[in-house]
Amino acid sequence: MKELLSDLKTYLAQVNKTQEELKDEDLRKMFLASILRESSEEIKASEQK
Amino acid sequence: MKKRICIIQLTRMGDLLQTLKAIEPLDRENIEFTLVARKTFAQPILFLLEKKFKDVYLFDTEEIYGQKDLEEADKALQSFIDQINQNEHEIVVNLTFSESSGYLATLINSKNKFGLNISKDRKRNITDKWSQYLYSTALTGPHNPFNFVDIFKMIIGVPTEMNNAIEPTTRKKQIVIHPFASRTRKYWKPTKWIEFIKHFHAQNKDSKIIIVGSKEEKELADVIYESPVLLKYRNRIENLCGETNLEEVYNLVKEAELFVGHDSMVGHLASLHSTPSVTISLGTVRPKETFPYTHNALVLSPKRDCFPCTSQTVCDNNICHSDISPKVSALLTHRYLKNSQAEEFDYDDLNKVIHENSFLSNSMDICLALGDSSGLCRLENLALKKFSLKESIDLIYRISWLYILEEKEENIQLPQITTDTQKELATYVQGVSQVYELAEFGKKFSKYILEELATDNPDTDKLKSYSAKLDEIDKLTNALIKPYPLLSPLVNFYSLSKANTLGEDLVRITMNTFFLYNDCSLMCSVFFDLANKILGTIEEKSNQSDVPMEN
Repeated sequence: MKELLSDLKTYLAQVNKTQEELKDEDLRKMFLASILRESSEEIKASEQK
Repeated sequence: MKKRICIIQLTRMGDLLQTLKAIEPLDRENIEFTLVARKTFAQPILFLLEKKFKDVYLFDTEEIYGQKDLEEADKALQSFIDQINQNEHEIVVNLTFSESSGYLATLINSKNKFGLNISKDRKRNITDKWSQYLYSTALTGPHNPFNFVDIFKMIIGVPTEMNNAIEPTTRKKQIVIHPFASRTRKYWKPTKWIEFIKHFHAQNKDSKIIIVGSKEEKELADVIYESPVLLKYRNRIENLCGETNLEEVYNLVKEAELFVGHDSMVGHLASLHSTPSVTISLGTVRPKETFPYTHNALVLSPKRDCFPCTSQTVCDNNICHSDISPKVSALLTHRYLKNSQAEEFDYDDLNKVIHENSFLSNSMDICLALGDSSGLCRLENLALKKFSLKESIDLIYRISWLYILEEKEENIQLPQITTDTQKELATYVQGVSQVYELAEFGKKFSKYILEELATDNPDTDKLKSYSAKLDEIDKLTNALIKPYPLLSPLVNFYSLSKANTLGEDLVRITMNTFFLYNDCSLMCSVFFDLANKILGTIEEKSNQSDVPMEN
């Protein structure tokens, strides 16, 4: 999972650098990055309850 | 051919059940629904979702975590989206508002998108009015006077007048209790539930209580069940906590004569069959948004300035938990149950309990959910005699938003207010007048831009200067939130609407900007009139009586 997150981070850094119009592939990877972040935040919140 | 609507709801079970409740009245002969949800939240209630949604697509985060690399994860996601896109969707409605849902809404094909979507030029778009409302008001603070079911209905376009056809249910003489919620701040400690059950059973000689909950909640449920205080009632308590799946819990609340619990998804399960319910709302819960959507549902909550708090609020002792007396709650629940079983609900009967126990009920808000003339469901506070500023402004917003966004007039009696509220509300009337004046300036400069654009050779300098004026107007409007924090829903809504102004060219964008300022101005007028009517009520009442207004 760590590898997946690191690959996503590298990919998105590249996409954000170009500021070009997003492709479907970019949108999918942005979706993956955000849903993984949101779900890890949920896990953290439920641990803190 | 039936039209298909795709709904994205990536949040928790409670939100999924509220979504289900919102689409329930729609005629399935003409419309079919697709649901995109998270597996972790939707799987346990799939038996319900599959009854109402033609297709349910479950996104499994765990499966993505399990992929060996990014390309494999992307492939799995592409296949998931391809499956959804096999059907043609007339509309995609995103009810979630998280960033992830915004990308997903863009990836699902449809010409019409409601709710947040993030376009390929990286712009965050929210173009429909009720989604703008949800995003700017409900998600930013405790200023939303509508139940989420009603907001979802208005976003999707379900006529609010359409009521759910509920199959008649033969109810058993049993009361289901779920004494837990998602966070400790939202539920009583076992000692309070023990006291509640003791008083309730003492009032109801033949009642039977069933405790439900998850495996994780079993330890606390056992503390309640095994309490020596409840020894003499043990034959009338059944502890099923940790022993039932959600389908079994659903069947239990469906047949129960009453459900009692905190703000959790079990209350929403009960509302699907209009089971009478008593909800004890604590901590971060915003009762107006999440009360079980059933006519006459009873909601008890703390009457305290810090309620509802937020998850960021530091609170070690959950002080609001002690505002709700278990004894009075049990007494109210007892009377509520009797009234629910009677041919006609006697509201005065509950009021009697409140008055007879005023010492203990003073710290509580005691509300009933009422369906009103506009077809929406709202909470009516039985214990409240005079409105505070926040309560008055919440009511003004409710009537004004419905009028402006839905062209509905809600027939609600205007409240009496305290003398302190009178002064504060009069100050807010000045604040609204300032927003109104700024909106009128916005109309004026939008009109100047349109007039300049209509000339043969529009003067760029003039256009720039008018446009700068509009920016200044927006900045000044936003600055009004500081002295008038309760105006933030109004200011934020029009700020978000302006950021999403539609139009293919400058003329159309400016025309829509003009209409937006016009709407803002109209909203201020409605707000202004209602506030003055409330203030007028005070004056009339003061004139009729020599008794000075109480504080």
